[in-house]
Amino acid sequence: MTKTWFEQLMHLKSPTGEEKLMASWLKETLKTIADDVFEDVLGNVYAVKNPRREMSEVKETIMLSAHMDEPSFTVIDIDDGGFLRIEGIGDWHAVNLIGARLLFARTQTIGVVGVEPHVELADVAFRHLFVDIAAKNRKDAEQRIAVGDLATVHGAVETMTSDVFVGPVLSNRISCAVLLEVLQKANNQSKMVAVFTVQKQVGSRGARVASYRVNSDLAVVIDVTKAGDTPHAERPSLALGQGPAIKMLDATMVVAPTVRDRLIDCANKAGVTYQREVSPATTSDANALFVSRGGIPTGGVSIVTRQASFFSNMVHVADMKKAVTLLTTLVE
Amino acid sequence: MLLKQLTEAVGPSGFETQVRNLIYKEANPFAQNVYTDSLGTLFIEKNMTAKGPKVLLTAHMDEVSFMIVGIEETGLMRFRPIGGVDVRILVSKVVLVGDKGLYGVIGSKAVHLQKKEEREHPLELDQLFIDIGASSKQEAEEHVAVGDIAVFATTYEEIGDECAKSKSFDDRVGCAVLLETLKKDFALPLVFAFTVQEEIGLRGAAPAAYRTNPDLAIVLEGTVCSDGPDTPSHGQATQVDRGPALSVVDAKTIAHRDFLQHISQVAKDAHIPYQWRRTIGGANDVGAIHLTREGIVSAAISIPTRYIHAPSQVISLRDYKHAVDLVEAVLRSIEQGGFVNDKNMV
Amino acid sequence: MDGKEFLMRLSEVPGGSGDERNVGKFLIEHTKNLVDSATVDAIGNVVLFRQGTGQINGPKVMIAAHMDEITLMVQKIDQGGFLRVVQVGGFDPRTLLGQEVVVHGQTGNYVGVIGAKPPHLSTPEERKKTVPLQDLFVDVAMPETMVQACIQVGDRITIRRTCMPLLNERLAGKAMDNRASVTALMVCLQELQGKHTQADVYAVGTVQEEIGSKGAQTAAFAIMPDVAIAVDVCHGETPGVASDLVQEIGGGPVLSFGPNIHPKIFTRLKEIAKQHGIAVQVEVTQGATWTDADPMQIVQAGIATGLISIALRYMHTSVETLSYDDVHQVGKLLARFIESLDHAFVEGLTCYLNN
Repeated sequence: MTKTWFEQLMHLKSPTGEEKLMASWLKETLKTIADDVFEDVLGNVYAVKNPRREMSEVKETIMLSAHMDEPSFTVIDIDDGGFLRIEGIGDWHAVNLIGARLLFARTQTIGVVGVEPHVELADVAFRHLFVDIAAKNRKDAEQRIAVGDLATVHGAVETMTSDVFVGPVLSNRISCAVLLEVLQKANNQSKMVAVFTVQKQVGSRGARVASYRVNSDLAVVIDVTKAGDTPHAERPSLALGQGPAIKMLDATMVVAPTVRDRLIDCANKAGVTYQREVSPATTSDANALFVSRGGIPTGGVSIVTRQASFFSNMVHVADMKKAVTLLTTLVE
Repeated sequence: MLLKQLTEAVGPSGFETQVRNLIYKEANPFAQNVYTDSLGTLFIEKNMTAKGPKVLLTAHMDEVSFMIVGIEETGLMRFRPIGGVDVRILVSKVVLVGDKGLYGVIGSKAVHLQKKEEREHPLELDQLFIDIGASSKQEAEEHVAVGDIAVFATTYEEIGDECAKSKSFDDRVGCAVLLETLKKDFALPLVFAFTVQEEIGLRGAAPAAYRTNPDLAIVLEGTVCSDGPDTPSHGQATQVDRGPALSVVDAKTIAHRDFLQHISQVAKDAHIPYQWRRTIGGANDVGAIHLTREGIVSAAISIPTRYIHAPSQVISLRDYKHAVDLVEAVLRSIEQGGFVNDKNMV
Repeated sequence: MDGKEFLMRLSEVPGGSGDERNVGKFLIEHTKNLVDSATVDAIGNVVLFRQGTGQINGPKVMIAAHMDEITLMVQKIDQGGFLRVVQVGGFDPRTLLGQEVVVHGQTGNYVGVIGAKPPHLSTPEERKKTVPLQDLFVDVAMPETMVQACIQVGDRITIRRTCMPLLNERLAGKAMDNRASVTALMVCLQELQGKHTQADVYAVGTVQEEIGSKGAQTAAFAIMPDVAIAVDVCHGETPGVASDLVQEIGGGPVLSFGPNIHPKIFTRLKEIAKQHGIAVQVEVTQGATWTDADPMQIVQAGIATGLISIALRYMHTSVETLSYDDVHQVGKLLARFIESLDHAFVEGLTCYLNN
């Protein structure tokens, strides 16, 4: 069950640039559901089903990808009082972080984000923020934290209804759960390479080297996209619980009609309701997969999430399940 | 002296000929194989048949500079920067123009002739011009053509306490470290790439990495340093005389943790001072190299450079020496199997 | 079909970034007799291949012009059947007000008009500001139920414009950026008819330039030529713009010079033009040229790259204006350049050391 995968994954924090924790969990888990499992120098995790199919001339290689990382923070300074200074990695607005709790990946230290006084809210930048880890002084702080350590927003994932989860920055865990389920379920005859990518938030760096390595005939990126079904939200026309969104356009690319029509056919064949994603503000690994080598036909299947802020992303389990059905139909 | 020659050579992005020729002359006696690629990157190979991981060491030859884009009837010349320059610093500086290296001064309307409001704003590019002394467009065109380049006319000089100033420590100091390194012998296959076009988007390094496909890459760079007054500790990316800086995160790279850890351990063991580069801004050729092909394990070792991208850049010669020592120590450790990089980890 | 007619008709073919199929089809139809093979790659690049006529394998030259134009896409079908849109490529939304468009539905095409809140209902403050794309809509003059039945989110919208001849061999229309350069490739292939070339020629209509120069780099990766020439448009003389940023319309092919351009290719193009009496202009760049040349130069281990441009006014509007003479001269220059290519020249391109 997707929900089960998601429940197993949801506590794994995976900051951009230090995705080790999730990577080791995935490598261990994938051993039972894929034929080949390995990691590359950036930390991408690969799981291959039917690896020897590449010899066959009739069947294609399909790559499915989901990113492991979530936007993170890096420590750039520790002061005499033991307070940390950070910079954001990914698309953060400093002002939104005031009062947030952070979890530092290496030592599992928790910190609280504070802001210097006398700064207008509109002007708050990272240089005004500090992180309080309840250290007595620099020396005490350095027992737990070093310059370069990475953190993510801390917060529990909770059940709102039997179908809807809420939690901070869920995109990576939603996508990985869907991909795991597809891997497990699909009785595919063609070669399928599932890639759990790193460093999406800084420009899809993991996806770029992964696509070069896999060199597939088709690549499909699994990610989330923003709902437009809340009060006075104008666009996009995507709603929670109305099925997976087939990517037409996002901030990184336009999907070719041939690829998107193929995904639409799969949805129709599987009897899955779907939506159409035209989201110019949503980023994904799609373009990084697409421009590799001589060009890799690339599409995307997105899970619609309500994103009130980074701290509260809502996801509907039915959308994840339907995405699994759609993608399973594709690889089969 | 190497640093003097290197930093005074002219090498705008895409026009690195002088620097390349100088490095070639210096490196050739130690090289097993020398060649250039279609962009102009200079490759020096050593011990290519040796066992052990193939290491690519790079430094970029290009510097921030200017191009002449128009000549006025008066003989004054319009110009635009090649690479990132803070336009506010340009007024009343001296440049060398064209192949002949003619003196030119960057001028603007005299302050007396400016209105009060004008004086409050920094001068924009279209208010500045280069004056080579020509009295007409025709005369200027006898010496300079549109498309000619110009660089700051700063000379190399050792100043203060073991410091030096020049126009182009970013990244001739890296080139110098590489040259010192390639004169030593290591039982490793080594490729030294002196890259082009770093200042306009890390463009030379990717083809260099693609061609050489190394197991490990080390980039030597002159990096931003802001340890002056009015800068809080968390704004000080690096500090002069605290040793070479190691990058954790910059605008184009998140460091390979194990390799970074290894380098810092080597520094500790060898008692070579080092510091962390504490800003996520800026980038160097690692940004292009580490994403080449299936991904390449890479790291940057940087020499803190005050007033980077300005006419007079300042470094500590002790930092320079420590960088040379650190590169040697890292290569010795790799030579001895101290860092193993398995490209496919199960 | 002569080049001018070809360009006029080609400019009218709809082909937004990501869906260049119609342009590719038109291009292949009108060039297949000029080449040894015409193929479409996995992402839509059209590769027209002309084998060298020498005894030995010649050098490989790729000439590339992007086929895509900037377009809109349906993002939402709003109340009343009005279409809300996003852009694919960079429009100036001010130029969109009141334009006629074609909405490309699954089963048919529909003419629409771009509307916005009318001026007499806007406040004086609003009238002083640009109407953002977000506030524009496309009216296909159908009730919502009809719209729902024939148009879907994700459908493409192109500018509707018939190409017009102006005075002095000048043409105006949509998508002259960059169908003018595609035309130049066609003219080049015509010019090469019956001519001897050592080089194998890959004339490539590339995809998705307007959204990040994507097709050119993947095509270059697959072909891995010894020499790559991008052909694109640049800005024509416009009052009030610095002289180094614009070129004369009708002044001939524009040769780019700068760090992203191989100096020996620039020089060779200039020499060839002189030999054949083709007037050229020089554009100096200080880094990015914002054309397919930029990514091509750093594909794999690097490709020696040049850039030839055609001066054009009012870029990214529905009235892009240029001189057909320039287009034709670019085609001729490309052909003469290709005829001049041999192994010695290509080997020299990686030789930067004077020893």
